[in-house]
Amino acid sequence: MFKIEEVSQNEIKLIGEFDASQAEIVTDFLQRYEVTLTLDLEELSYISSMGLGILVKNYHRLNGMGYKVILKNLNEHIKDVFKYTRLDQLFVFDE
Amino acid sequence: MTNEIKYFSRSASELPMIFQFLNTVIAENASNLKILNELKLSVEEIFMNMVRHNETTTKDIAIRIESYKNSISISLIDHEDNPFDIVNTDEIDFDEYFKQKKYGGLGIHLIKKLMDDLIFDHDAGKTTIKITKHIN
Repeated sequence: MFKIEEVSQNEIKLIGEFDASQAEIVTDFLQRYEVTLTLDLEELSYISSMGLGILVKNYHRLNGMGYKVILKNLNEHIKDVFKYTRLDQLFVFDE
Repeated sequence: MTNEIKYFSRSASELPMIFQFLNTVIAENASNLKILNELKLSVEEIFMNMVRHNETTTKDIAIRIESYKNSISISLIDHEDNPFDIVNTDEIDFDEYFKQKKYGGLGIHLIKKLMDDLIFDHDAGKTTIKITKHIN
């Protein structure tokens, strides 16, 4: 199961398992934001490489407008995925 | 030892059923959620590569799980004539990757980092990609 929720105008929460079958839903949802965006991943148990790609694509889109993407509350699996792909050098982490 | 095989149609919508299959079989032998997620990521990447890049067949993709005391192996088996050998791929140049603002193509790199073994085999029109993760 996967859910995406707006916490505020500049913060959203990803919940559950973000696999390739959710790609279109998340792409459409994130496309609406043109702000420095915080992603709360506390309840995100799993992310696939396609999910990762969607986050990176939005990082580049927002970064091109002068905004940042801030990630918080990553579990061990998701921290490892960011570390092994060196994306921990790209995003801002609010730990 | 557990040895189970299931067949899945060529669609991303099969992923929840594939994960359920992995959850059921693997949870009996490995309660570590991190290992389970690493296996799920690797299986999803291989499965979706087969779905997206092999348009020569409409046959189902087979997934076999072999669960041992100290390791879990998962094989994905597809019908194809011109296979893509994911073992012999170039390393990603991350400086160039970031400079070019790329956002995809990280899956095979992740499999190689997360799994303890990755084997590619192609014989008689069938490709088998086998991943292995040590549990202890």
